Amino acid sequence: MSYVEAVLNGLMVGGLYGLFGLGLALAFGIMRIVNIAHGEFVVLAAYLGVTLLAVTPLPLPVVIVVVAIAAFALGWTLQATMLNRVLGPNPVPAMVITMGLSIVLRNVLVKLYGANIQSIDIGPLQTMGLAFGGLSIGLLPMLIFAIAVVLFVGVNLLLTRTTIGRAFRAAADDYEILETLGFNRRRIYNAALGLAVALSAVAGLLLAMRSSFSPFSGVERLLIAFEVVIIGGLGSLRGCFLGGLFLGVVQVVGLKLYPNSGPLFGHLAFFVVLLLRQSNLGSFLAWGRK
Amino acid sequence: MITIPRSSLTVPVLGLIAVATALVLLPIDRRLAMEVLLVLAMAQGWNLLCGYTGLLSFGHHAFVGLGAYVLFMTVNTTGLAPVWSILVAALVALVVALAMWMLLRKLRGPYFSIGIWVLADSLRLLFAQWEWVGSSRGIVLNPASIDAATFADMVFYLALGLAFVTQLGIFALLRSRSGLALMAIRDNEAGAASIGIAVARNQLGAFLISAAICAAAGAIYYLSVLYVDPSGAFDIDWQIRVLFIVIVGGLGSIEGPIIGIAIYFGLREVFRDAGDLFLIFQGLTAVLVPLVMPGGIWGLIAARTGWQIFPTRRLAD
Amino acid sequence: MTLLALENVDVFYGDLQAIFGVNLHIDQGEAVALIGANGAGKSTLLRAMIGLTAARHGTVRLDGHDITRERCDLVARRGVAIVPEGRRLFASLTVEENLLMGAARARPGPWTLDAVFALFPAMREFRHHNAAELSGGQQQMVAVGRALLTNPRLLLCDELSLGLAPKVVGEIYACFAGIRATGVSIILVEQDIVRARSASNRLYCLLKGRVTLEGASDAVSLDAISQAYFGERRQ
Repeated sequence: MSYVEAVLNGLMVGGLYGLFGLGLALAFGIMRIVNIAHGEFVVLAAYLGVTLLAVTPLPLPVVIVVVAIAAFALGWTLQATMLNRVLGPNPVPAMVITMGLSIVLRNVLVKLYGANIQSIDIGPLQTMGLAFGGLSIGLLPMLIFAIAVVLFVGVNLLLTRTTIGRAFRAAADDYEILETLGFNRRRIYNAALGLAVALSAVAGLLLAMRSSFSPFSGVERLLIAFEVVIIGGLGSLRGCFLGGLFLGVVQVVGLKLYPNSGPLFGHLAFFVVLLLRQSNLGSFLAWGRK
Repeated sequence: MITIPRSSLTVPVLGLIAVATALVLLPIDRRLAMEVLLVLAMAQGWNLLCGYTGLLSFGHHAFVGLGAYVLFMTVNTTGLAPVWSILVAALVALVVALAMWMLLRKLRGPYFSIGIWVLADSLRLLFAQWEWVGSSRGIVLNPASIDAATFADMVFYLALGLAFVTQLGIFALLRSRSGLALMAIRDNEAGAASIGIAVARNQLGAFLISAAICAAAGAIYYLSVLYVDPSGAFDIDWQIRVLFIVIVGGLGSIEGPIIGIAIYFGLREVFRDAGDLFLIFQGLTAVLVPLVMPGGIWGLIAARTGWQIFPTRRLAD
Repeated sequence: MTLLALENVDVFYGDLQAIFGVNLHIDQGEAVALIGANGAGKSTLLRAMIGLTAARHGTVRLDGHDITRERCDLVARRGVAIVPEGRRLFASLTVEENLLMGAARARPGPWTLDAVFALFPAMREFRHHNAAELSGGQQQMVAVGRALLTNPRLLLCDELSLGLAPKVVGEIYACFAGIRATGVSIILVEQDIVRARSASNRLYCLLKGRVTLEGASDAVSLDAISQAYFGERRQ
């Protein structure tokens, strides 16, 4: 794999990282909640996908839709039954609850599926590729990247063109005023966490087709999502997308240089961005960009 | 004049002496007692940061691992006695914590929590790559550095010492002027800032103290097992354990972590043969406590009875 | 006919009581002014009327329905709207998007986007601007428009003139006739007593959370108002 291929591959996996970040950023932007179980939801989606593909005759696109719907329901339920009860200026209770949930999910997955590494087999598509100009790029990564782009565009349309999307943004600005206009704040929060989890679940399922996973992959996914949000700048759709691409490239190229380094290069890139932000050098990265 | 009644010291001081005496004299399982004491120290340190200054850290396992590695490397390369190497471990953790603070100071609230988690994970990955510290294989303590006959007693007394120094130190700190500031921040951070309390400086202080305590505790724990590796020493489970103990016992009080410790180790014994079930149960408890018992068990008791075993409340006369 | 009635209402912020046993009512089509010094509890009373801070004791009735402890969004959909103090536009939304939020859960009624643009013609020009880029007066128009788009029966206006130039305040109050012509009742919190009297049928004066004066706006004397306002007899 040449460096050019590594960069292209990084960009393509980066689209998914962007989606992870988007899910985290939506929940934080709208509810001021950091969902510590974010990574476990991502992994859960992968396991759900594996199971559905194995025990039902459903084709892959349908499985993706089913996983998305299930994830939306899960996010909605979590918000409605638990997180709406600890709304307020103190972020600690919601973090403790989702932290607890992540422990439960992780260990339930171990009980159900074992601790071994798994992957999703989707047949011949997995190995098909295109060759041009001396480079060979897998068809699957390109397809996955295209889905990520479509989802980003879709979320953008949702946030700007629909009432619920505008309500998400308005709730982030001033939820009290939104209530005085007749909106049920809690319902909006339920939908927001549903959307956040659904986006991350689809990304998690797609990532599972490219790389393997285990019940313990959740932490890594959460930290990736977090890094994407910080690198891209809070509250920005474009920032999440670009942050995801950047992190994807850093990770894939880093892995090519040091095959055992895992997500270390992603972490390092994150620290570099943090340091740049603290000096004026990095002001062009626009911390609070909308 | 606003003071804490001096007579109120009788119960905690006599109580601590009684507990220490019992631990030394009674025929208890000293291995288990050592672990309990070390985790208690970590929990009190973490509680000082999270319970009082409101900075929720999900990355204190960084200091556990760091303390362990610094001790092993100091003992193995310089030949310094393990007891003194614990101090080196705490000092190095202080310096590293200060550097971490410089890096993370722009991140507030939940972003601090995960930012420090990333740092902890980076340390794990770094130590797993670093040949000098044995990479992912880990390192064994140089057997010549210890005296096998007294070793078990030594680590027990070290743990006992650390736990009691931490317990008394934090108690004294909270009774001091700084303690007043810490409790003001706990009760209302914005309000504390508005009356001129340097919130960030108090947070930094608590962060450094908690880092040093966790490093010393990690150093003593891994000293007792004579072996350290990155996936164990930097295991998030250290952090989860401390979080569970403080949340269940009650954030922002000295009594809370002590109750949490009793519950954690009690449950662990009950679930001894159930494996993953214990972890699932632990997670479920963490989910439920903020919903049904936001102040933890001690919060509930204190609200009902007004008790303080370690009095830090001031009275105006 | 009485539209909204408060009976012996107490409101607390935590342990702190802000409103003490207030009785107040407003009829359909009426405009009532609420005056009082800073911290008298005027805004708190408005919050209790729309359900943002529920009254701890007493009753709030809208059209005979007990809405004392009803959720804010449900009260809003019964026809109460607020133009909040400091305007509080959704900063990351455009002007038009702010207005659309008002219209999204609206009751049926005369107020549409076009009707609001007819009321404030200048707004058409900056409809695609971000709310945060507007001047104070422009923001106030958007806040009024956003509240009107819910087609309220009762409009609560909190300190419309706060921080605005007198000329701009005049322009906004000039629109009140048009708004009242649609049958909306208005409760007006205002520090400018002259303005408050001229824009209302009746007025209440609040002092430290209690009603100290109540009467027809053109009947109460300025002396009586200043006494109720400051709580002391001025010789």
